[in-house]
Amino acid sequence: MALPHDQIVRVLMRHRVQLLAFIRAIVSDVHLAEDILQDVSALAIQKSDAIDGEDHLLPWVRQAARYKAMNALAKRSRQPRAFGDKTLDLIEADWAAHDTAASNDTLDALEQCVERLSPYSRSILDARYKQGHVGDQLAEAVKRKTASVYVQLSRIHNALADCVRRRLAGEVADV
Amino acid sequence: MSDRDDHTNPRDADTALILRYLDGQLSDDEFAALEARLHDDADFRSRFIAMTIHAGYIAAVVAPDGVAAADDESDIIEAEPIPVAQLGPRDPIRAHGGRVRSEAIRYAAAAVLLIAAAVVVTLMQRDTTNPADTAAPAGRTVAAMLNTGDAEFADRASAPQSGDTLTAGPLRLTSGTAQVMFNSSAVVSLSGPCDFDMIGDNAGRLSAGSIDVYVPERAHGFAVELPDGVRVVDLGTRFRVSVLPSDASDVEVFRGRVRVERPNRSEAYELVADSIARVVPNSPIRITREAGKLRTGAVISRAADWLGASTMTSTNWEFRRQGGPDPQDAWRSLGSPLEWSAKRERFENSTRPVTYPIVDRTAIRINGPLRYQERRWAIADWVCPQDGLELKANDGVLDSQIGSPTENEAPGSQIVVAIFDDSAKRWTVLLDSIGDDDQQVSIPLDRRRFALDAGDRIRIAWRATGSHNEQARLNDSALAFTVVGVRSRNPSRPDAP
Repeated sequence: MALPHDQIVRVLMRHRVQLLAFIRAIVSDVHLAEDILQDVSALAIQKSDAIDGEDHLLPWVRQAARYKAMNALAKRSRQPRAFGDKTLDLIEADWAAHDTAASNDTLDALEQCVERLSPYSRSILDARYKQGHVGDQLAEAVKRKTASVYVQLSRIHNALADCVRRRLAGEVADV
Repeated sequence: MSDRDDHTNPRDADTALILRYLDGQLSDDEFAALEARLHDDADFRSRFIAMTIHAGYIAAVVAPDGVAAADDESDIIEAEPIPVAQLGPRDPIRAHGGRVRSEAIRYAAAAVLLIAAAVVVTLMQRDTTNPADTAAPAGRTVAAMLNTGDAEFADRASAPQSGDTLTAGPLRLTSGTAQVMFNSSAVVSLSGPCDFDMIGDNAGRLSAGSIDVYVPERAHGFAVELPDGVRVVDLGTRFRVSVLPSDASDVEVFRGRVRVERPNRSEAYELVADSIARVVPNSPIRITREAGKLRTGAVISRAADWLGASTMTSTNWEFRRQGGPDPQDAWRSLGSPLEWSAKRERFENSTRPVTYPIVDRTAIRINGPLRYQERRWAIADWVCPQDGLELKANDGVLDSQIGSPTENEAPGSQIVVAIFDDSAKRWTVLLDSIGDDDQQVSIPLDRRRFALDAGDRIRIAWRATGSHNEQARLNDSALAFTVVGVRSRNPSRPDAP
């Protein structure tokens, strides 16, 4: 039975971060990922007859997004740099295990953990996500070498993941 | 280039590899190595997926409102108005800005985009009316309510529900957010408190509050009418419009272009991405930010500017209990107000900053020098002397006199009230308000209550905005906080990292 349009919209909204992340994992470009997500969302409404229930919606959207992403990469370059079909098959299959949208508790915990970062760590996150700097621009913004700033950024991401995990487990967590 | 070094553990190195991939920073060799691991190593593949999603949530948390940090105010360029007669409907007057913008905006905007894209088709199937920017007769359907979320409507009895069709007329939110899609497919996200009228298939009128607008290609030409005869016309974009209590308006473009026009004054500007225009009644339209560059007279710097910026100047204004001999005694007497006031401070032209000793003739003594610099903040801090002080913020008034503006400079003043949590090293802004010249501005703090510990701060900051060739003053302005209790320190409160 086809899903009602408002139900499709609700599910897509609830999972928007995961879906955007899935597309970004394929195209490694957040701007392009957003455009693709928009197209696929419209397609999901148009093709609602072909979607068998809510459980089928997210896999359907991911599959559509994957093919749109590959087409977009092909349009951008004659020899696009993209994962092969086998790798994408594996990623797409595993992604279902991460379908659960973050709960309010998780988001609250993440927010609290971000607030407890040191000023330096916070400045790196701001430069990356507020100002949108990447690569050399990011390094220049925080006055570090490109390689070391990504190592620092990775430590911050890992520390935040650990902090969220501890908070959800009932521990008082510092970053 | 490799992210591995002697001090990097394998987990951090893997995460760095993933983050650099997501940012498009890998070399061909690194990309090949990444793909091989994704193909062969199920554990790594799982970490790759989890970290990609985690990064998305971090982006959304770090800048939930998508406010990008402002440039230093020394980075200014001059603005020239463009006569409306020179503007064709699509004249590329100004070069487009770069694509760099807040990634958090993208994550936050994704919801609107999703809804827009999805519901457009639904509406196309049931309504073949051509979009028009002419007013629709009352009673005709012009839009649909997409999502009411946590919205509270002023008229609860007839509050629309998600999926309802909407006829031309007002929508008044007291709080929360709601998204509306017009027949043209333009999507408007209202943030309460907000006073918005739907006046046609492709047009609305904003009288108060803030809206975000997303206009897909087929709805180009979507128009928002603002106070003082101002109109914002979409040229294919995403933008935000805010109407302040003073009837001044801010128009901020995230993507594409809009035209800001005031036909009765023959004014029109085209704004490109990452640009902001401010419209003050009876003053010229000002472009305060263009393609990421601040312009003369910029007033876009909100509280974030001075909370973390290096441009602030420090002064020694004090809080005192009214009539009390010792400012640090204020908290001891429950019910006594801690007051801040300013009286007849005089600021000289910024090219000749002068320091004045300031003495208030009433109960409040301001014992420090205040150095005024153009567009710089004058700041008063009160530091809480003990743990567990519970305060209530009373409303106040700011009476500013800015003087005559220079050409193409609308005068104004801005006041910010914020609380600093010394333990978390975090500011919470209670108020960020911009007023016009020569008028009293109320400081509505809504009797908010909060608790402070030793070292926490209350900060009040004021500045004249724009360039001024005459003096600027604060007249008999005041704000008060009342001590309403003392609690014991929460033993579970962790220390700062």
